Amino acid sequence: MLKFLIYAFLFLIAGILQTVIVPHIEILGAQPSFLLILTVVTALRHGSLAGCFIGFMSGLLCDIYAPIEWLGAFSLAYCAIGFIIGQVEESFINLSLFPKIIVLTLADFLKDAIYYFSIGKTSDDIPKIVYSLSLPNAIYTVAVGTILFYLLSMKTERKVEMYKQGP
Amino acid sequence: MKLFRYIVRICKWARGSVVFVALVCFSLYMQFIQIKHKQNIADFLLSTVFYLPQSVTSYLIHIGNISEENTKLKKENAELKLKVDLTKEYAIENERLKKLLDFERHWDNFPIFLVQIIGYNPEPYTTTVVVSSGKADSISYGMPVFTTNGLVGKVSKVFNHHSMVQLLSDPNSITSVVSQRSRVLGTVFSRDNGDMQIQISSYSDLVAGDTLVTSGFGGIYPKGIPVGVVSKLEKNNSEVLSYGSIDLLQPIESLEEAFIIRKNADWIVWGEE
Repeated sequence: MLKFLIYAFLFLIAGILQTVIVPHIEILGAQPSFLLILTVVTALRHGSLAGCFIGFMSGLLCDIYAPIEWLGAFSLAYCAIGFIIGQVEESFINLSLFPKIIVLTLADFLKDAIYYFSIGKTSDDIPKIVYSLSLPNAIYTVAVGTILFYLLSMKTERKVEMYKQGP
Repeated sequence: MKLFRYIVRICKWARGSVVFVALVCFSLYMQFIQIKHKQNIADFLLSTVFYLPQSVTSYLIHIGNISEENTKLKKENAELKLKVDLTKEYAIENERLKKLLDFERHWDNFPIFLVQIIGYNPEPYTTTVVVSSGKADSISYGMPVFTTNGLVGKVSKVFNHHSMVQLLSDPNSITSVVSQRSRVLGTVFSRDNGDMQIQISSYSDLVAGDTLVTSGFGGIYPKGIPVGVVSKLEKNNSEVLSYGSIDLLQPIESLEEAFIIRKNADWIVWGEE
């Protein structure tokens, strides 16, 4: 229950960051996706069930701010990302920092691929979209995600050390 | 019953996949329904599941907008205040120039030239000011300088495009004056501390409050220009001469424009020019 509340709170924070702060910190049109980072972190830590649920909620939040005719596209993309990364977590229990960054990068591109496929973009549009939107956003998201992953790994290491030292 | 138990067991074993499939189905359902139903779902989500994030987001955006609007209004307010101040300044200037025009008509006997005060000497007691006209405007040494309020002084040095005016408050300046009421003669001069004084005969009919005007006897100032008001008089009947304090009608601190009368001195003391 406590974990659920913590993740609900993190979701609230990520949602606020995504909708209020991100427009002010964009660089040359590139914006980081805090909701994607939350989805990836949740999926890596707690598996596919939590990953796909948080991903679905994050996608729904994005859908609300996206054009109404594409409702469901983001939720599908984020949900799929959460589930797939959850499977990765289950297969490789201890992911160090570098693989996590690779996972985040792939997740970003995969999310965009699912989203643009869902809203009916043709394969002719994809290279242009990847070059002008996906790539800058992915770079920014990965940069922010790397910092957060690093902070989380430090916290985990501290916990492990404390556990090793004993009471 | 056995089948139901079997389904429950599978769901528990693969609950992640089951939830995923359910959520994917719901996402696809949302994509393929009519727009009005999509709108209903979005409204429902905003009023229930996303009510809190939406409220916090709206509140933060609102605060951001208020802050932005506040900055904009402050800027606008500063600009308007500046405009109001400028308008007030123009109104005062307009009033002053109107008075100067009247003054010009009053001094029709002499050609009058309007000058701007462009500098003060930096001494503790101002004794000279710099005006914006010089030889190029036919200004020459000894020309009287006035304002609508009263006498200021005389031109003491002339350059091509500016001149220096020796004020009445200069200790080296002595002006012959006459009481407007009793026509008693006296001389106005300045003490070293900047106080203006009048020297009169001890038996003359001069009282505090009398207005003093130029007598026209000095050869520099024409007759009848207001100089000051007697503020204090200490008569000493045992002495030939008595002294009093006067307040100048034109305070030096508030000088902005002045008139120079193009009237050459009737005579100049040798070596003064």
